[in-house]
Amino acid sequence: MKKDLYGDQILEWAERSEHMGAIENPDYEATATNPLCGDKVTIQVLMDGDTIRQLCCKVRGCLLCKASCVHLAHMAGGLDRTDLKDLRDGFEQFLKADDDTMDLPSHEMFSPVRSHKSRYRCVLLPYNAALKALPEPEK
Amino acid sequence: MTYDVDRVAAQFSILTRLVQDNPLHYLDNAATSQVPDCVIEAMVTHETTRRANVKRGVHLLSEEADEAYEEARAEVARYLGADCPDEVVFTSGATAGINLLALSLGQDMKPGDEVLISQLEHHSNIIPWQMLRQRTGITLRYLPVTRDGRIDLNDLERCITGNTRVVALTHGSNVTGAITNAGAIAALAHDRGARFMLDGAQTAPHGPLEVKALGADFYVFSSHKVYGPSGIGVIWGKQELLERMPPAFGGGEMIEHVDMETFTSMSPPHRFEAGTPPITQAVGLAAALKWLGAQDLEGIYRHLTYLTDQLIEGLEHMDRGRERIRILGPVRGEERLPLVSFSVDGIHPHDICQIMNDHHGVALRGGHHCAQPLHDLYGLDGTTRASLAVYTRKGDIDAFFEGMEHCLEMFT
Repeated sequence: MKKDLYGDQILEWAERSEHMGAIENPDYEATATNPLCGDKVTIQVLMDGDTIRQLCCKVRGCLLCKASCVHLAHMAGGLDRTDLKDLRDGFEQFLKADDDTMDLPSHEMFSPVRSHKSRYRCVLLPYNAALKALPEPEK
Repeated sequence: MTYDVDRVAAQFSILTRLVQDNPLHYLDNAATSQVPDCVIEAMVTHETTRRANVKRGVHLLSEEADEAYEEARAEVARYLGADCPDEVVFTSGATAGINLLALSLGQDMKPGDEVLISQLEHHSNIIPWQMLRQRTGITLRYLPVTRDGRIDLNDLERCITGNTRVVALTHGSNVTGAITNAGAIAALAHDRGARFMLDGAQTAPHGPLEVKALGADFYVFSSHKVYGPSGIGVIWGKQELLERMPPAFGGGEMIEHVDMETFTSMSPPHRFEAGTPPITQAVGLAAALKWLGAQDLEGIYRHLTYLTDQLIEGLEHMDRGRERIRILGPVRGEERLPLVSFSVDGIHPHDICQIMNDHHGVALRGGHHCAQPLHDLYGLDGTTRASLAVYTRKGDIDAFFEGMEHCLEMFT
């Protein structure tokens, strides 16, 4: 039996409104869409040097996407692009891992998504938008 | 006589499987219908007794495969009411069929020529023509859509001009369920010298057709929506038109002669079937059409009309006093395909589909259904769609409403 995808924590995060909306003068901004369903996430970022001071989002998407968006916005402060990329890749590995073979305490509430491959894109969309917004470091 | 849906459903083994301990209630038929056991058996028999390439072999298996492939073409011709099997071109699906027509018909198009489609179309009947515009500089025009989800024909006289080369429209919408009044369009298109193509992906599953009576020059559909296998589709075209059209793809099976400088192509339909065709799928498609044609079609129509009305009425009833649910398409009682797309304020279609699947065994589809321009027009990001088929039972509709109550309660 699959775990219930819409646990209380997911529903609670999806309803939270902090970090949702716009930043007046963002340093960076990008939008990512999920071509399968048309969902859209716009991320705006205010920076302190190379690290994120504030991240805000506008979401046109499902509950999973909304929860992931707010969750990311909470975690983003103090991260640089490399940290963000590592966080995203770690999240993806966590999703793809067999149950209980990989821990990611910060993302535990998303563990029921593991058994719904078609929904990985929903929770990764905010990360993809954020990475699209932040410029890649010069080599 | 009452339509015996249980007898029909019993011929689809897949319908007995469970979805997380719930019986499967499959309401995603506008995307892909299920395949009756006899179709699977026909393909297994072909694979285990006649598997070989077609058209060029002289050995026994090749001759038998060739015979089966051409008999499949004849079966499709009978289903469509075509004059002869040579009017039937096998493709890999309806999408491939429309792309092939855009490539072939577009080869002599130039700036100033026009193609007319509508805002009701599936992406498969938008993008091939946008690509043709990119290649040749033609003008692409759109018929608008009415509030109740039909192609608006009020402007037809103005939209089909002397420059219109092709009018390409859906025969039935995969989102609103509206059925296109093909006759009125065909007459005007032909009067102005244009070719008229119907995308029959959603209408072909509902019984044998008379394509000539529809007034179409070309009719395309996919096998996987007519109880057949995926990987094959059909273009029907008037023979005199196919004869004059250049091939869209080159390769084996479509040529008369090749030298290092040039080639001559075979006559239709082979001209349009470069490479090894989907042979086993053709056998499966033919078995599916034969099976469908032998069913109680009037009974199916009455049954599905009743269930579709139940769906619409039930959603309206559920929404009474709340005004959260918006149903797209013609209103209850008016003719439409047996599918219902709807939006619920504040609930994402994928969240509805997930709850329906995980807790109720109901398979629905959510999103833009490959019709983003239509959803943009309605100001919707997506909709949830329930689509019915010959095996849909009252119990499936009951499970749908049980799930909808759950969704409304959970996400409110």
